[in-house]
Amino acid sequence: MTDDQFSRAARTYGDTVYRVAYHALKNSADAEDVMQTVLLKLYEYPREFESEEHLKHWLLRVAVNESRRLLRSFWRRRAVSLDEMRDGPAPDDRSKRELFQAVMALETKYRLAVYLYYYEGCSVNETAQAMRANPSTVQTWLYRARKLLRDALSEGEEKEETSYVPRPVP
Amino acid sequence: MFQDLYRDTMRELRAPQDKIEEIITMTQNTEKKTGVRRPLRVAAVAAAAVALLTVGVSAANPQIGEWIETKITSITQISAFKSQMTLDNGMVVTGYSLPNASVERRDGRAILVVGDDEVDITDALLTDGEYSYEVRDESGVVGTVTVTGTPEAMHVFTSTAFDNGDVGVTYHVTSGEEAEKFLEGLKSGEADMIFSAGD
Repeated sequence: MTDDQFSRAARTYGDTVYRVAYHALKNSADAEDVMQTVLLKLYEYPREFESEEHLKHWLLRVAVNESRRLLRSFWRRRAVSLDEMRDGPAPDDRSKRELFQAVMALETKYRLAVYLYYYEGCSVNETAQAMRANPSTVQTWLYRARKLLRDALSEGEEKEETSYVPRPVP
Repeated sequence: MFQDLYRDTMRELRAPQDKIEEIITMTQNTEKKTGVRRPLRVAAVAAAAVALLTVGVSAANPQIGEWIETKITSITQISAFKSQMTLDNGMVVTGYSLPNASVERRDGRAILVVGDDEVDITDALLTDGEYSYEVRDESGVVGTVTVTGTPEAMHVFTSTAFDNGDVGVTYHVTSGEEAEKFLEGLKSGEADMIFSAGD
């Protein structure tokens, strides 16, 4: 990868990598660290990518891996920032704010699956590949995540306010 | 509806652009490495085994047993896969180490782990019965990891192709006990150079 190709990829996919890491780690400092690690891995990646999709899915997979690596680390398990979940976006829109908080309250694997599937538009198989999981497992995660989100957002809400929450698909 | 709102919400989650520019600047000021990012970990026993294997096979040396008794006084890492060992008799030997590879099973998937990189090889094993991973270190030594079999029963072969064009033998040491077995086999000339990576 040339310097120009790298610069373009970093500017194009920096946010994507950061969002994956944020979904896994729930704080901006760790997400920035993961983003830096992933982009440097991209810079040193010795092979050519077959396509833009190949590049994107490589970045998603490595971002998930690096985030997990940090989650597993001895240091982080004992030093989770007090600011965790407090330094994310604070949308003025109440429904967005509630949705953000509800998503961040999900388990890590659910958050990542939801992000890859709903934001990045990955298929179930692509999500499974990025997360090193079975497609059927990912389907279960998405089903449970949708149910949890529906339950969380339904609490204290008027019926019509829950209309944007997806219904679980059997 | 959910997807639209979710996307609108998460779109506001953005990396600091100055951080991205900082990373780009950092790479422009750094000489690009080829291949692996850093020397791969090689356990002491495995490193010794690699050195023995290299000499033993490249020279078909019948005196391998004597060589094994020789002490290594210093090891200098030349590159990720290449090192030079000075023996207590003054002899300098070039040793080639192998990519540190393993295959893990996660949620029914076969994951090849080579250094910092991880590859899901399940589909390749199912369709081709084989997956090859290649990495070149900074001195031009090519390390290859080949996994054959099925996701349920795999064998992992690793090799280094020397920079003089010769191809190294392949083997994989998965544990201390197997490394010991390997050394014993090498001494007796009955080295089993293939170790199963399966459970």
